[in-house]
This record gives sequence, structure tokens and C-alpha cells, in this order.
Amino acid sequence: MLNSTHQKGFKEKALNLIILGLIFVTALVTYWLDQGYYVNLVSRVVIFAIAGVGLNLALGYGGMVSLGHAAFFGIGGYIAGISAMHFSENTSFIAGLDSTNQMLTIWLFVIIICALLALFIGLISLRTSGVYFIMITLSFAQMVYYFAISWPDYGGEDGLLISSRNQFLGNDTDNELVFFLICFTVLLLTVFLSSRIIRSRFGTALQVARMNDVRLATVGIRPYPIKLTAFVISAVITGIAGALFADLNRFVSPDMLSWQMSGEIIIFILLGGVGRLSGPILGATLFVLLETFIGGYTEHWKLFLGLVLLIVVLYANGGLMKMVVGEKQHD
Amino acid sequence: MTNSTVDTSNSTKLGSTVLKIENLTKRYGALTVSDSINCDLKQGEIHTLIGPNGAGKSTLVGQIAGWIKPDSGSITLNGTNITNMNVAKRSRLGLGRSFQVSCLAMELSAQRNVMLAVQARQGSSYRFWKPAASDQSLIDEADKILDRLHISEFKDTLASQLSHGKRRELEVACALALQPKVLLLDEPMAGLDPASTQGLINFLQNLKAEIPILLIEHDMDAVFQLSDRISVLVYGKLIFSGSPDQIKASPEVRKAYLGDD
Amino acid sequence: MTAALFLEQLLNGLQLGMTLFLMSAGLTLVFGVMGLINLAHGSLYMIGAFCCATITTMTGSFLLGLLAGFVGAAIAGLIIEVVVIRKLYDRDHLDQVLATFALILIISEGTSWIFGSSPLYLSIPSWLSGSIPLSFEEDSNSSYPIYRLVIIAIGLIIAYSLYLLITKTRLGMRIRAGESDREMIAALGVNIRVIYSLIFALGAALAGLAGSLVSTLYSVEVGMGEPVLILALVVIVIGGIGSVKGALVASILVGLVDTLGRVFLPNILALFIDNSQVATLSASLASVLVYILMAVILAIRPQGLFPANA
Repeated sequence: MLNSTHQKGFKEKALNLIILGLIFVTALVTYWLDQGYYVNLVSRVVIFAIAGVGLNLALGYGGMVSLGHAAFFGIGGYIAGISAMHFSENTSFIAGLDSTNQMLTIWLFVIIICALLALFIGLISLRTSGVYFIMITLSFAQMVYYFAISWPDYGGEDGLLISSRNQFLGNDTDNELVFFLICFTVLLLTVFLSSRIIRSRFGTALQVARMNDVRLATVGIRPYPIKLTAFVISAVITGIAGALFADLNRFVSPDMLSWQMSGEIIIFILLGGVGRLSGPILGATLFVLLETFIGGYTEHWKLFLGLVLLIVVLYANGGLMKMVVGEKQHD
Repeated sequence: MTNSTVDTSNSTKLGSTVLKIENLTKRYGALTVSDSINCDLKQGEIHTLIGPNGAGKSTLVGQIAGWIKPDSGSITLNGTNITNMNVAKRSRLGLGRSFQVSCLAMELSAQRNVMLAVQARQGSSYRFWKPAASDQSLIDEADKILDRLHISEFKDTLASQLSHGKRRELEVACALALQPKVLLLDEPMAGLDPASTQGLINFLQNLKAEIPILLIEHDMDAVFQLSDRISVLVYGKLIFSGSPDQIKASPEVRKAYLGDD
Repeated sequence: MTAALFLEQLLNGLQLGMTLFLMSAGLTLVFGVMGLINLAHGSLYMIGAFCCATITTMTGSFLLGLLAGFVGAAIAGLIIEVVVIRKLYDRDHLDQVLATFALILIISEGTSWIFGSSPLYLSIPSWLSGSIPLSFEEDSNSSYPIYRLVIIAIGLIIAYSLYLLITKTRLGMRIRAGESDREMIAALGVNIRVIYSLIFALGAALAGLAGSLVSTLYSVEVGMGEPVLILALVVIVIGGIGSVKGALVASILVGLVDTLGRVFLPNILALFIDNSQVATLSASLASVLVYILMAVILAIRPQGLFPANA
């Protein structure tokens, strides 16, 4: 039994590498074939995957079903968009801060703002659990959504165009491959980071908080701050994904903050496999494939997405990862 | 073998009070489930709480462990008032417990369950980088405790696949890993086969010198074998407290409890 | 700000509250009895509105339209329950959220496939289109549409009927028993499946009725259900999940806070801050007022105002 466990663990690791490799190769090949559209499509997969990896930490490993992660995704996007707008207009931020178009600085902002917001939302919502938690996270995201809609300075309902992408040090981010490489590096970093976190002592405590929080408290670890910490880290990762998404599309709109977006981030995880490292990457890939290819035939492609989703939930719990490498292992 | 827990046993004098419950009262509407209960646990002893079903034992355990908030009264652990502390904090102060219904991380192996407790005792759950599963300081200590309870052979078995009896022993192992000052064991013998029951009795008899035990138990054989003191809880009231012999001789207890059996 | 204006907004708030109650009653019952969170409840509201608009246009009778909305949503609810929802009662919340989210996608896209993406409009039938004066002063021309008063009245009638249903009938007793002890009621030989289907269909019918009632006030279009669904979710969280009484109180509370906030918040804020930022700020603030209300209530009472299993 032990042997097969190790084998499965190995298979999963191999699969993780294969998926990442395939994504990388696809981007290179499409770029080499001069298919900029498809390179951007791969970047889209990668960004959704980052958002999913972020949420997976809270949802898959910590058992916190957040239906409000679009708030962080959208805020990340808005910070990138607002920075770009001020930079192109040569105006300063609210507090007289100089505007910047450097991604690294912008991401720092995203990290700080998303962490603070997640701390606030988490402090209130983690006092509850189950359905209450789902609905409260949803409601907080709605708050942010309506704020964005009714705030005309930054585009209101129409959203905000980004006239030119934010810069990454001296690189030409308008080049599809350069932009892909930035996204891909961020994905690698977040996957690596979350794989460390999951296996660490903190990760153990987090997963026990999901399995049985009475057990966790009984050994002397309070589940609440453990979950809160994971929620914050999760929000920050999703926020970075949002910043990248805004730059990819050169556009941010309240859609990024909508609850459908929150639902879609959960879908990335579910299609791939909840609580599996590569789950969100596989899921995001499947999502974008459906969107692109069925979406090419009919504008009602989400009907098919819904059917796939329903079938996976009802009959194939565990997603693609389970079909390929079997049950999840705890090592 | 007991090196890791030596300091706790020597730091407190034999016979001194470790856990003290004073005037503990809890009402649910008109029903008084804990009626100003006074009770204590001294170093080196096993104090057993018995009583018919519905006597309020679970509520009392809940209040000691911290899941239920008493209406009034106080609980003191080693001189510290813990009445208003949360569950986790009480555990860190040295209150180890096992549950009536197994409460483990079922998706983890027996070893990982004990390692979690070791990790908690080391006070280091906010480490984000080093893998916990291969952490030798956690493995060694967990293995020692599993060994002590003679369940080493099951260390790689998932808690969900353990037999009912092994789960109870695993819970005791997790509690011990916390190096507690007091053990609160809620019906640890329930569901054990006779051999395992005797094994656990012998184990607890040896353990009590090291860690005093507040025991809730239905198995009267075990109770009379193990207990230094027995208290009887009926309708939320402690009606009698004394040695096993006194309990057996008490007409009051016979009438209220043993007689009804 | 006159008393008549205030009264008018008060009634508007009450009308919104009653619409929300029709939505949230089913949602909270389904959660309380079956432990299911149903995001597709907004789709049933939309189905009701589409049925109502279609039948009213075909027959020319709004009453028939209302009936169609009520029955149509009930049938749709029954089908959904049997095909999908039934499999979800024993699943965790994540599965319930995702499966019902999938239902939203399927129903929304399906509807826009059938009906196209342009909205349908329905006018208030002539016999309900009058209005009554709100003020007795000679020069006042303020009045209130009868139709909205009818919605309020229907909401109150439904609330009272639900009260009777739950407290006085056998079905209600079974609902309450099912809430506290699923196994016991199954052991008594009551067919729990049928009860669950009935409750779900009832909730669907009420959502359909709500959709039908507002189909003359707003445009009937795909996506109309989700904003109402989210407000209804806020309502049942505030009211205490599973409590119909909580849903009624919270519906009215949310309806009033949302409506009055949007109208009067700018005036109130203008008293303290006097510049152009006020308009922006108050619009933003007004649109999130109900969520702030919810956050405050939950911070004080994490289980809502009327916890169902207290």
C-alpha cells in the first residue's frame, strides 16, 4: 500500500511538471509561429491558474469556500489600471504619491491592499462558517463591485482602458512572449510557494482546520488565526493575478469584481481537482479551451460550461486530476 | 522513555491540587445541568466521575475543556484561572483530553496525528517553509509516544481506517504528546475489547504518577481498578465523593446510581 | 423633503421588501429544511418573469400571466429538484454552490438562446394602473401607483399564508419535523422525498411569482435574477438562515434601508460635507448600505436576527 502511495505521489509530481512544460512549450511554439493571439491565450490560462492557485489555498486546503475572491482579483486589476492611468496622465495618486508604471511596485501595492482587505473581510467572515461564510464573502465582494460601478473617476460601469501596459523593469511588456514569461514566472513562484506552505507545519495545521477544527483546537492551535492567515495569503496571490489580467487585456472593468468571476475562479479549481497543486492549472486550461473553441461556434458556450460543470460535480468529484492520477494523497 | 515528561511530574508535589473546579453552574433554560459543582484533581491520582446517562457529565467535560461556557463558578489549572480561556489556550496550559466520540484528523495517518500534537506543543505552527512530514524532531517524538501506547505498527494507517479501539488509544497518544499537566479522558474504554481494556488500564495505572487523570468512565470494573477517588454526578449535582470502598458501601450511591443499573 | 415624499419612499421600500420576501422565503425554507444553498433561485425568478411576459402577451390577460409565472416556476423547480438538486442534499456546500452555479449558467444561456438577448417589456394592466393620492393638501400632486400597493398586499398575504402553512397544517408540521430530525420523520414512514420536492417547488413558485409581479416594473431579461438573488441571500443571512419569520423582518429591513438610503443619504451627507464629492460618495455608499447593515448585524449576531435552531 505504501508503495502505491509513493507511486501516485510521483505520478502527480510528474503530471505537475508535464502540465507546466506543455504550457511553456505551447507559448513558445505559438510565438514562433507568429500567433500572438494564441500566446495571449496561454497567458490568460496562466493568469487564471494563478488566481486559482491562490483560492485553492483557502478553499482546497483550508476548506474556506470563498465566493468573494473576485474582490481581490478585481482590486488587483484596478490597482494596475489606476496606476497606468495616472502614469499616462502624469498625475499623482490620491495621497500625493507619485504614480508608477513599474509592475513590481504596483504588485507591492496589490499585496498590501489585498492583504489589508482580506484581513478585514476574514476577521468578520471567519467568525462564521458554512453557508454564512459563503454568503458573507459574496456580500463583501458585492460591496467592492458596487463601489467600483458608482465611482465615475475610474470608469464606473464602463471600466478603465489601459493605454499602455505597465512595465517590468526594462522589458518590453507589449511583446506577447515577454508578457507570457512574466506571467509564467509568477505562476511558477506561486505554485512553488504554495507547495511549500501546504507541506509546512502551518500547512498541516491549515488542513487539519479543514478536516476537523475541534482536533486542532484540542492540541492547542486556534483554528481562527490559522485560517485567517491562509485567507490573506490566498487573497494576495489572487490579487496579483488580477493585476496581470488587467495588463493582459489592457482593460479593467467591474466584471472582474463580479460574483460570476468569483464563481469562475472556483470553477478553475473544481474542474482540475480541489486541493491539488496542479488542479487550478488543469482547470484553467480546460476553461479557456471551452471558452475559445466552443465559444468560437456559439456565443452560448457557457451553456456547455454549465453542463460540464454539473457533470463534474455530480458524477466526477475530484476533477481531472483524479481521473489522471487518482485519489489525493496526504504526505 | 519518559525523559520528555520528567520535569512536569517532578515540578509539582505529590498530593497538591492541580485542577480545581469551584461552584460551577450551567443552566439550559429551566434545566440545571451543572449545579454548583465542586471537585478537584490532585497530583498522582486518578479521580473518576461516574453517573447515569443524562447526569450532566458531558456538559461538565465541555466546560472543563472550554467548549461550553459556564454561567458561574471557576475552573483553575495549576493556580491559573482558565474559566474564560478558549480551548486552544487551555490545551497549551497543559489540559490534555480524549473524546467520547473519536475526534481525529481522519485523513491523516496515526503518526501524523501525533506529530500535529507534537508540533502544537513545540508552539510553532506559523512556520511556512520546512516540510512538516519529514521533520525529524516531530517524527522522533511521535514515534516514541506511539511506541509507549503499543500502536507503532499502525503508525502509517490513516485514522479513518483504524479500528474503533485503536482510535481511542491514538487519541490518548495525541493528548500525551502535548505533555499535559492534567489528562481529561472521556470514556476511553468504550468500544475496547477486553484485552485492550486491560492494556489501557495498566497503562493508565503507570501513567498516573506522572500525570493526574480526571476520568469519565462507564466500565465499572475499570473504574474500581483504577480510581483513587470516585465522584458521583446525578442530575447535575455531585452527590458523593470518596474512595472506591466508600462508594461501594454508600447506600446513597447505591440508591441513586448503582442500584438502578 | 416633504412628508409625502417620505411616505412614497417608505412604500417603495416596503414594495422592494415584499419582493425580496417572496424570493427569500423559498431560499430560507430550502436551506432550513434540506440544508441546501441554492444559487439558482434567481433563475426561477427569471423563469417566472419570462413565463408571465410570454403568456400575458399571448393572451392579453395579466392574471393568466401571473398564474403562468407561478405555475411555470413551480414546474421548473420540480424538474430541477428531481434531476439535480435531489443529488445535492447530502453533499457539502462547495458542491451545492458549484452545481447550482452551473444551473444558473445553463438556465441563463438556455433562456437567451430561446428568447434572444433583447429584453421583453410588459405594461401594467389598465385596471391596475391608477394611483391614489398620498397627500390631502389641495396643491399637492403626489400620488402612489396602485400596482405597487398590490405587490405589498400580495406579499403580506403570502407571508400570512406561509405562517398558517407552517404552524397549522400537517405539511407544516412535517416541514418543522424535517428541520429538526430527518431520520425520525423518515422512520415515521413519511415520504421525505415528496416533502422535499414540494417544499422546493413551493419556493420556486414564490420566486416565480415575485418575478412575475415585477415584470411590469422592470424589463424582463436574462440576468435579472442574480441581483435579486444576492439581496435575498443578504436577507436570509440577516434574518437567520432557515427562519421564515427572520426572512420577513429582514426583507422589510433591507428593502427600507436600500430604498431610503439611496434617496436620503445624499441629503444627509450634504449636511456634513459640502462639495461635489458628495454625490459620488453618497451614490457609492448608498449602493453598499445593505451590505454594511449585514456586516454590522453579523458582527453582533453571527447567526442572524432569528437563528432557526436556537
